[in-house]
Amino acid sequence: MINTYSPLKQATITSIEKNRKPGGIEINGLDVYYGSNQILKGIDLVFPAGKVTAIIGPSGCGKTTLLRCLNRMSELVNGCKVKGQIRLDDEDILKMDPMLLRRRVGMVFQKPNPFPKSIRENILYGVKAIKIKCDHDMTVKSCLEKAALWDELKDRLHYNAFALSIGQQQRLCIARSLAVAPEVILLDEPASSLDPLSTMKLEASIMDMKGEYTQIIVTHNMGEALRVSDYVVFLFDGQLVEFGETKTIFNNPRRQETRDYITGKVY
Amino acid sequence: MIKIKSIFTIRTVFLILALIPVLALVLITINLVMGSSTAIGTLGLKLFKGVFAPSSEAPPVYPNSLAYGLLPALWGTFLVVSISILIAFPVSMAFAVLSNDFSIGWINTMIRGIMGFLSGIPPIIYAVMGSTFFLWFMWPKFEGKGLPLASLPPPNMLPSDSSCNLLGGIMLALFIIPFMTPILDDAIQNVPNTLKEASFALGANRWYTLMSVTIPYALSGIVNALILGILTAMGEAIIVAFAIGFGARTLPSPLFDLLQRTAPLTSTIAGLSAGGLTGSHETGPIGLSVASLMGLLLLLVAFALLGVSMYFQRKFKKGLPQ
Amino acid sequence: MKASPAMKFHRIFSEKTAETRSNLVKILTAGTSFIAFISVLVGCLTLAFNSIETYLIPFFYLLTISLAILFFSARWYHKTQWSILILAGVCLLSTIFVSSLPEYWVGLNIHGIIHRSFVSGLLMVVIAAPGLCYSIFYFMRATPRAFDISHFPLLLIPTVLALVGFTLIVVYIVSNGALHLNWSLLSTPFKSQYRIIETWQNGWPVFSNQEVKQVGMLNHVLGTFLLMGLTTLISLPIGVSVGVFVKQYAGAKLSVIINFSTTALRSISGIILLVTAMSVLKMPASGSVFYNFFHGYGYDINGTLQIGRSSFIIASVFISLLVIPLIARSTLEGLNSLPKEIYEGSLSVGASKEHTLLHIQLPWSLPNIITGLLLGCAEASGALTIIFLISGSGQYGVSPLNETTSLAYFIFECRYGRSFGDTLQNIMGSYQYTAALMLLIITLGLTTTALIIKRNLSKRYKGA
Repeated sequence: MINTYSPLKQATITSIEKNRKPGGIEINGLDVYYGSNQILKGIDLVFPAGKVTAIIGPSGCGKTTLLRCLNRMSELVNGCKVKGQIRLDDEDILKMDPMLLRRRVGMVFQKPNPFPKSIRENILYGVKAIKIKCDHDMTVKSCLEKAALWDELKDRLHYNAFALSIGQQQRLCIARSLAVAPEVILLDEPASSLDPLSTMKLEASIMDMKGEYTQIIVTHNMGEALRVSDYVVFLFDGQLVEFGETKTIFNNPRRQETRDYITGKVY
Repeated sequence: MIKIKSIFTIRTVFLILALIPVLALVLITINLVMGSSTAIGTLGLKLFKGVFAPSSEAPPVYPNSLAYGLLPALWGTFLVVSISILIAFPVSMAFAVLSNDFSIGWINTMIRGIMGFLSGIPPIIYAVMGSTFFLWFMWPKFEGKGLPLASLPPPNMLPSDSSCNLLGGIMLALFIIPFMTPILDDAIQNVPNTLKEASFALGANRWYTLMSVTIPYALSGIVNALILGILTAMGEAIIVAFAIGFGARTLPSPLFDLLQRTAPLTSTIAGLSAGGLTGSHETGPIGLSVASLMGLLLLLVAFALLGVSMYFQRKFKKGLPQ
Repeated sequence: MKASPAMKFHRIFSEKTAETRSNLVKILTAGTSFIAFISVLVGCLTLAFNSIETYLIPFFYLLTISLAILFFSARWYHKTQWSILILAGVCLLSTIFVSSLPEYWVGLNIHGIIHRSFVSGLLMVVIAAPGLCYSIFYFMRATPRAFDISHFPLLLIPTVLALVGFTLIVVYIVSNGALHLNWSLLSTPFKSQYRIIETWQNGWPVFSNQEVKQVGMLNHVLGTFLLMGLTTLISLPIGVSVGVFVKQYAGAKLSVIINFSTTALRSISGIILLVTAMSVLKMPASGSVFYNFFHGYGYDINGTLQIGRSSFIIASVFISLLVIPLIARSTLEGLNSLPKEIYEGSLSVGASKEHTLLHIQLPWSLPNIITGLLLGCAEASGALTIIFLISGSGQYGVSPLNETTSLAYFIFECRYGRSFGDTLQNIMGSYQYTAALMLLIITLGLTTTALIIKRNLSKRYKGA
């Protein structure tokens, strides 16, 4: 009945793509509470634009919470309070309309969750939801190419997404989040449900998207962090322990906790 | 040895007891079929006339002048059921959607609690309210108070002193709402959270997620709730009896006239079986047999709708076409 | 190059203008939402009461004007939203239409007379609701979140109306019923003298003329409880067996058949059960041993045998057909909720399946079975459709072999009964609300207890 408001008034996907550049995220003094538990304590971070940053740390240290704050999915949980400042290219995320934010910061989840629709409909879902004009076939083709699925699926676009293998489903989810031309992509342990071959293809896609998108990936896998990321953030118990370039952190960590974690010492 | 014996006995006991409902259903069906055989035999195609006038069947009344047309009662059922479903289904959907997708925690529990509480109200209460209290609201709109006598329409167009189809439909709708809401609520609650999260992560707002992800996924549950609601509305006799009366006479002359009283099948059956609760005629054997025939119709429609619902649920389990 | 004073001034001026403009738009849209909200309220009230209708017409005009203003405010925000203009146009047309209608609208092939308030109230609600949504949307600056929040009224209006209806029902019955609720009413049995001016139809007492001697509800209350008790006795074993059988022993085909039959028993109309009950009651021949047993008999003060329509036992049999599916479904839920680990643990110690069933599974599902039972009792006490043609007044005693009676039947009799030339409505019509109140208390009490038990069930097992 009513057209949803878009800040880019008569935008088309192509015009968004032309003007889009990967955004940098800056976090200042972030505190996150679930009820009365404080999950994140005083985080100050910068995620550089166009690069891949990996967030590592033991279970329960707040990695996923941090990630979900960046596109305000944390608000979907009752009793979640977020204090502090998060800026996306000089705009305060916490003051934006969350849905407008989520079009600029996309997310890929741990367990692949394609919609029970056809492959084509899955990819075009975001575009149709925000009512932006685009050439549907071109969008589907370019997204699937970026996710390295085009050759496998170009004849099967009308198949139900559930008929794909898990690895293909996860890459379909990446393609789906690319369709709305975001600036930042958040990946929450994307390879944890996948076998090694699919993981390899996934990592190849991530490497291909470097420079065009800012990617923030939460991972348990040290090897993956080493292979894929440019910067690493180490979180422990809700606090930022260390942040730096991958090579520096893995070869020469400054803090003892980082060294222990990377070498696999049990806490 | 003793062990084998006891296994045999316990299982057989459970088996026999569990087959009793099946047996009961079969017996009921057979009873209705046998009872309606006279009607089909004597009246045959005359059953499709539009006039229903039960009369004493002592001779010299011959079957040719008996008027047991089923159409008025069928039309009455159709009218009353469609009014009630048209009102109750959107309201139940609104309740279910409100308590799942659109609000804060305590409203959900409150709505579910209220609906559970209200579902215990027996239909007789709705019937009593329909014929007294709600009538006071509706009545001033249709009675023409204060109009000079000359400008009133002819007497057969004036509303009668009790109630009308519309009111029967509204009370039936109020009866069905606490029944349908928990089923719809369940269906919508069962949509997995991950799908909704995926939709939110793409920037869709709540309404779009509801329309394009939640409802298609929960469609089989929604259809099931709708069919159960239709069945309950069709089978309610007391509410429509109090509100509309015990026997349809003819098809209403503007066909969709909501302000007349066209009794549905259920109360017509009651009227026939009692030999005229509000009249004083006696129902002869053909009349009783017509009552069985109407019951058989209700039964067959119930079976058909249940079958459709079970088929739908099997085919569209979990929102995936299989 | 420094910004010239002219450019600075221009910038400040356009910022200030933008700010005033956005403030102005905010005020205008807030005003429109307020007007639309009041219009919805007045429209709903008009649907209920005729007299409010005179206040409705000015609201129609106000609404048209505010919708037009909304159209222009929206234009300042964002692209032109033609649907608002169309809505304003529709509003204007209906204003003209409604004000040209006479007070009573005669003719028009819908049975003669409709008061103008019915039409105008309906139109008002239908037009003002989208207007309210639009105005809230633009008040909140037309973001996607505003879209969600602005469509809230569409969900709220039907919900609130339904809740108002339910509240009216409960309040009216409680208030009218409490007027006459006193112990004497409850404890006095209903006594009436049956005159033998009855119409018999194939051996079936159909229309009995009676003379009311004493008004009271005792037999009806006792009858309700007796019905609940007998129904429990009959339906409990059968319902539990159905649940247990479907879960444990049945193959695929048999379980489908049993499932279908039990669901069908609940979905077919109560009237069908009534028709079957009446044909069952006609089965025993007039003088035989079973005749009295089926039809319910009692002895009046003079010692004469009075045969009724149906005994409690037969009525309970048919009501339990309705209650069995409830108990079966609850038992099945309970059995399914037993964690597999406990079941396997019992088998691994060497216990037989039957022993596990009787000692582990059924005790675990006991709360569920009790819930189903309570809901079934609530059904039994309110089940008028099955017994309303086969009940009587229970004045000759309330025991399983007497004639059926129930509180719900009391209400029915108050409306449709006759007493020797006068209707029962005139004699004891006001007591129908008291009976309804008693019935409400019983059924709602049972249902609420069942729901509380159900809610506490989920806290039962917090295993690993």
